[in-house]
Amino acid sequence: MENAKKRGGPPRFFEFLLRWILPDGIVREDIVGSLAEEHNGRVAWDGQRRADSWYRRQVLGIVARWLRKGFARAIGAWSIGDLVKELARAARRLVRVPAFSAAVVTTLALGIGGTTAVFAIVYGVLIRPLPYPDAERLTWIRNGAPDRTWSFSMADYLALEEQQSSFTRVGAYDPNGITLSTPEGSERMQAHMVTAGFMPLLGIRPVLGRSITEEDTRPGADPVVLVSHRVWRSRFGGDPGIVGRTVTLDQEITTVVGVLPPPAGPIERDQDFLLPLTLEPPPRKGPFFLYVVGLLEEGSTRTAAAQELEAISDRIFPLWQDSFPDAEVRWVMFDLKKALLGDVGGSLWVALAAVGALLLIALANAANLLVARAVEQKHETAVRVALGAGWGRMLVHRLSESIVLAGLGGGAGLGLAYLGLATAVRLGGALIPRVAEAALSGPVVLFLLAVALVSVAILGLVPALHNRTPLPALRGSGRGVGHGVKQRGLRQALVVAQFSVTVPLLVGGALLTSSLWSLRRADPGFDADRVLTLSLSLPHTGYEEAAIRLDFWQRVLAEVRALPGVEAAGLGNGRPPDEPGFGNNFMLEDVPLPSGASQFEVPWTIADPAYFQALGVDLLAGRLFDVDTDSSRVALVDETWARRFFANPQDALGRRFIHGGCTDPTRCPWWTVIGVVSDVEYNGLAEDNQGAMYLDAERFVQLGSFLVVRTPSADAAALAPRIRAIVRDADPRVPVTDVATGRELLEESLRTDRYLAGLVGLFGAVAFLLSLVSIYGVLAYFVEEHRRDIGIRLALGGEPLRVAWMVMASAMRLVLVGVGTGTVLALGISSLLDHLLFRINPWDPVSFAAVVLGLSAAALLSCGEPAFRAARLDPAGALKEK
Amino acid sequence: MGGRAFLGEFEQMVLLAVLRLGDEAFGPGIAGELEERAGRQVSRGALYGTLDRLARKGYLRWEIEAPTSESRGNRRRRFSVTPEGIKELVSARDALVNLWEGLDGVLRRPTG
Repeated sequence: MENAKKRGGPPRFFEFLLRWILPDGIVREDIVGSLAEEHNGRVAWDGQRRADSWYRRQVLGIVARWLRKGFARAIGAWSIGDLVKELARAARRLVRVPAFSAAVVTTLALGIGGTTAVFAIVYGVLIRPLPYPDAERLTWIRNGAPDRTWSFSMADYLALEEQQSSFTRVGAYDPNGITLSTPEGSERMQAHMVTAGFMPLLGIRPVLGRSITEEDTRPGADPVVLVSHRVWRSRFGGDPGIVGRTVTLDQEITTVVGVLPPPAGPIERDQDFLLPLTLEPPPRKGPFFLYVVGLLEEGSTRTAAAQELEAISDRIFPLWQDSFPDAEVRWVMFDLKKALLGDVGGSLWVALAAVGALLLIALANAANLLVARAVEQKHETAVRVALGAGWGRMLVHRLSESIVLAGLGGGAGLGLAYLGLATAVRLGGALIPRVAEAALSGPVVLFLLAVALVSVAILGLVPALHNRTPLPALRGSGRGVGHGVKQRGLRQALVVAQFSVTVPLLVGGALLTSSLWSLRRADPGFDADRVLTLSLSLPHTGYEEAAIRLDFWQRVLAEVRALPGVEAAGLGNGRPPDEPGFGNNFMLEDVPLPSGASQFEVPWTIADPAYFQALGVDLLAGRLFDVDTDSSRVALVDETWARRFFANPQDALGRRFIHGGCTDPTRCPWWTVIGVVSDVEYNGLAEDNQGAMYLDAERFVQLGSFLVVRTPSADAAALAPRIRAIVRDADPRVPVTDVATGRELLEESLRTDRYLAGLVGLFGAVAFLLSLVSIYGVLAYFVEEHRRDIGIRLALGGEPLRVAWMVMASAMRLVLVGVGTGTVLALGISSLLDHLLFRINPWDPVSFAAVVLGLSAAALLSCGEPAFRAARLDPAGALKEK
Repeated sequence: MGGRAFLGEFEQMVLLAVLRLGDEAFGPGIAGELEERAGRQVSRGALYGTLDRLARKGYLRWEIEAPTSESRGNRRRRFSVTPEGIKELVSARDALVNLWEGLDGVLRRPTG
């Protein structure tokens, strides 16, 4: 099993780690080089996997020695046993201040756990190579115009397979659903139709049986299927004799020829079946439905391969010019990983930045608490130092508490990271590609250790350094007078830092939340609260003829309409807000395009007249379809379409077009616009509507379609069971899936936005609370520290309100500096969110003002209590103390 | 620390391996020699730590050799034992031999 990687050389991360811990110079070179040489030898006689694992063990051994040496140096002549004792003493001290310890550990656990969970996702999704052999040479090949890219067609793929020389291997898949029929009923399942090259390309070797072969993809070959590991286990009880058995897929008796291994990567992850893709020479260039992956020839450069792709697509262009006139379109290639991830990277880095900011706040807060504790213990510390404890020893003493705290925080953080990651994998599956591959792997745990070590350093060293000089503390007898300006400065700086990090988080949360609200308020163009949609797909067999299909749909629709509480029921092969029937390009008779320019492309849906009634879409001009009187080539358009090309809806009536890529009116017939309906979103709520078109479902009768049902009652979902029963009675082979009310469709389309707004909002809220706690703590401490001064002032006749104000002002100065810095920071980075925002400017003054004012007001309130405590101070009592 | 400590067992083995390899005493070779002759797994961390300690004590020295393709472009250290190192080895052996003397009857080698 040496399929994981064939790069040569030891595991990269561990070699990096080794280089990182060894000091630069000949010793490092010798060790790194010698280990590489030995690793190489071991690969030859022990295999890549064992050699890699040996290498990792050796490096970890070296790291462990290095850590031990580091500890030994830090504690001087102390032994590990002494360190353990010191840690035990620290733990006992911390148990005596349970509230303080719990606060620091919780803060740290949240910070470390959150950062680790998000880093695990970033690492698993963005950083780790795809889990396919030679992943860095895998490319994604598509058709590309200047402004967009789309899939390959059969014509494209056959030409690519035949003519290319830059790729060791190419393969294609058609991501498709399939209906599995069993005696219990029919069910839609996930399936890829794949070429023979697909499985070897991704290194997928069946655990039972064989792969898909060239023979299987020939037209007329016997139908065969490979079942996924999951389906094999769950539906066939892991039957080792499954090869040779048959299943009914899309009404065809299909022979199982193999069982797939558990999925490794995103392409095959959710598939229940792999079936052969029938390679049939096509009559025209389109349609475009194939996803194509290529493995670059070793030594072949990306530039050369890209040039070859362009050359082949130019070469075949004239062959298909009649059906595809767009001369600007060429084949383009992308790195497979980048292509599969899409733009999820941006959001993930935003999340990591946000959670990192949170960690900084948490650390600052914890350090702040520890500085306060250090100040409290200052007298004791000073005595110990005066009694002869060396500075180094005091450092260990101080560090021991932070090691215990960070250790507990890190441990709890690991637990939190585990839970957070499990939740993210469960919820984010549809949202973040590859998230299923995120795990608490070695590098992630090392990351956590590094974060914990940094925490120890910050928590331990910052307060310890500020406690170094003992003399002023002794002179001041531990009272306020002698407290160094320096350590107050440090605590103040930490407060400022917290507020300045909180502002961007809150602004981000506010922007994403108002964007989500705008999306919710945006008009989707249909009556979301009173609509239920269900997806039905007819089997091929038995429904070859349009008349039989139409009969099925009409019978079902008639019975659904007869249900009590149903106002209208229609048929459409798409549904709003983000599932159009298909995308299609067209050429308008009255809006000529320069030759070779890309044609207009908009979402199309095949719908019957009742579809519009059921969705609550209005007819603005002309009329709806009427299959009995219409000529055969008519279409409806929406208002945006009409206004995009003509002055007003009325003006669009009677206009003619040709569609499907054809440009030649002598070969392709004209179609006519007969009506204009109100707008419905098909490209998602956040995208601008570019216009939509409709064809008549009663004329172009589909196998698969949505039923769209309108009911006056608010509970549209209650209809679902009765509609299922109607469909089962009409034909038990037809599965009913994707049942959703209009409201659910809208919410589903906002999942990403909701997820992000919730996440950043949550971080913002935690940061907000931590900041308030810190300003309260600083001020309360300030008042305690200055009891005498305040008492003197009050005794000398100072007005209590003035005193309160003076105290508050000292704290609010810090808040304002922090908020100001944070605002500048937020202005700088909020543009990162731009592409995630809907109808709101990343510098939206209202969001900024709300955050700045709200945060300042909340800070003012949290200063109030200590300030008024100061004002109510009994001067005589304060002066008598000590 | 009073008195001079004897060489540790592992230190002796490392010095002996370096001596046996002569002009070919590079890191991987030393590791191989130890694993083959002494028949035990050697952690590379322990090996390189010991090499450095022996060099610091003056029992080993090294010369820098040019990189090879095997070492992936990293320069290499060729180790050799210094006269002090040899003196230490000899005295360690003498001490042991003195102690062993006359015990052959008691400590018979297991046969087979």
